[in-house]
Amino acid sequence: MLLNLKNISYTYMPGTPFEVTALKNITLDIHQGEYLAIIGQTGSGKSTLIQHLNGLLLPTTGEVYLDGHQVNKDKKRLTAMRRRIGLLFQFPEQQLFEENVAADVAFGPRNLGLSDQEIAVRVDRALRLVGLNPSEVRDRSPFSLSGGQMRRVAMAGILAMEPDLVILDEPAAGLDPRGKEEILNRIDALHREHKMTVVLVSHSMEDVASRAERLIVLADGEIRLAGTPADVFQDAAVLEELGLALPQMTLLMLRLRSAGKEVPMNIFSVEAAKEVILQMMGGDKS
Amino acid sequence: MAIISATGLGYQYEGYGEVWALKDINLSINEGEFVAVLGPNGSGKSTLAKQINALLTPTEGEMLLDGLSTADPLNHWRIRQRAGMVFQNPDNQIVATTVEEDVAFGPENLGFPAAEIRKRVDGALSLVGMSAYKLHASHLLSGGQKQRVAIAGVIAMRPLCLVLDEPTALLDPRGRREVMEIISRLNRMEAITVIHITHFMEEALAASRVLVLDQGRIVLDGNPRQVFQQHCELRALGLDVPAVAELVLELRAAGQDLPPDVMTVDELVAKLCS
Repeated sequence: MLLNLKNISYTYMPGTPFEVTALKNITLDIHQGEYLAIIGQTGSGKSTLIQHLNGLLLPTTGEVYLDGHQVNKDKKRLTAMRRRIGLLFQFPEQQLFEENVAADVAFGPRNLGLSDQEIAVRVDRALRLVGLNPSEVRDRSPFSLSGGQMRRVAMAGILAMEPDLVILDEPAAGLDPRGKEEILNRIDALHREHKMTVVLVSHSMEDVASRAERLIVLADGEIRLAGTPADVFQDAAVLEELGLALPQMTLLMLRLRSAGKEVPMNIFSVEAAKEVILQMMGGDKS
Repeated sequence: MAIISATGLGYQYEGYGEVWALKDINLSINEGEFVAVLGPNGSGKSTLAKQINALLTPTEGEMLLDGLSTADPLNHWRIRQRAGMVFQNPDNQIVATTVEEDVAFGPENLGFPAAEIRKRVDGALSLVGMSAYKLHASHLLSGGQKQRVAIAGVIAMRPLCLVLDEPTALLDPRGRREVMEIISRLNRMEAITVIHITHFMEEALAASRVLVLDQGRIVLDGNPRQVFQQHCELRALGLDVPAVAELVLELRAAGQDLPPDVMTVDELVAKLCS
């Protein structure tokens, strides 16, 4: 077990008229090497939750454990935690500031007090991990890059810290379909090939259904649904009530069922839907 | 009658050398059309949107809005009253602390009497379904509600044309649905011309016409069913087709007898179960 949240609650501005309880009694385990996605409407508590995962916020009540050690009452462990768990905020390209790409990516490792040589190695490695050619982009201004490239530079800045867990808040928001596909494929590769533990926050049901291993659905600061994508998308009625959408192909299966066809519900991709329909139509003819 | 008319329009940003952000744009959009604009990042979508209401003016060629040339600064005031813009990030568009004050910002600046402002604000909020929230604090609304308020602020100016630059990109599924319903309704019931820039192919299906931009040029122009049958061209540009259209293409390739212009879940279910 990498990280546990135990009965976490979080209240913004307690004791004032603006008091809001953003998280209510959340218990969540994050396992080494898993790919977890968090979905939920705007205001459901997703951002508050992920800031607890790297100690940016501390719970009002409840406990946070890293490798079995409680961290939320221990300053030293908390500092160590922030170094081991990388958080990529929404629109991270807005946080680029250095005059060239290499300096921007090096900012985190430099704060770890690493040698120049080690920093240079890490910068190149991180740039390659996000699919950029270090010798091409190293000396360029980050602001001369496209939006998708800038976002990957920001991601490289997190990866250069060599975190055990990387949390990404809507990493594909605002990118065109190709840019989106590229960044999500990069994240898949980090998880698959480099055994990185990934937590992804997304509004796109399509993306989480086909990529994550486990989903949690937040609503009003509570975990309403949890399980594999197949488990979670069984509950079409609950998702609808929470203002979330089914992936298009899952919706297609649901409608075919309503029309009396026997089709499975754990269908998220066009390829899988094609197989099901070909079988269904073949079966009809015989 | 054409409300938006571009002839040989080209645009270069200062300091970007010889790169044309827009080039050879010839475009005529009639009153009451609902046009979706697609294209990869950097293809010129937002630049085109800003040409429509004279936030940018042509380097070459001409852009007319309701017959008014954007090249003449004396026309800008009238052009911006006729073409209202809504941007991607709702938080950047809120100017006042309550919903009704926010919507009143535009008409107040036009110098209308109080009674007229009241009428326009109430009318606009009712059109976007936000009347119940008029005294609410604007910053506490959901993303979809904020965008509806931003649209109401534009509607209160009584524009002929609404230009929306990725208004749903940052919204959750419910927020996206809310905004799309409002846009469709304004187009249908109020006959407002809509230019809707989006990366969501499913949203483009709601439009009556789809334009696809690439490297500053219009490369596809037609109704959604025509455009989304151009799978190869769209893929080459790094764009998608709606998931159902892609599935139909695959099923046809596997020998299923389906018409190529099936685009939505309901249409496909109807075909498969008939």
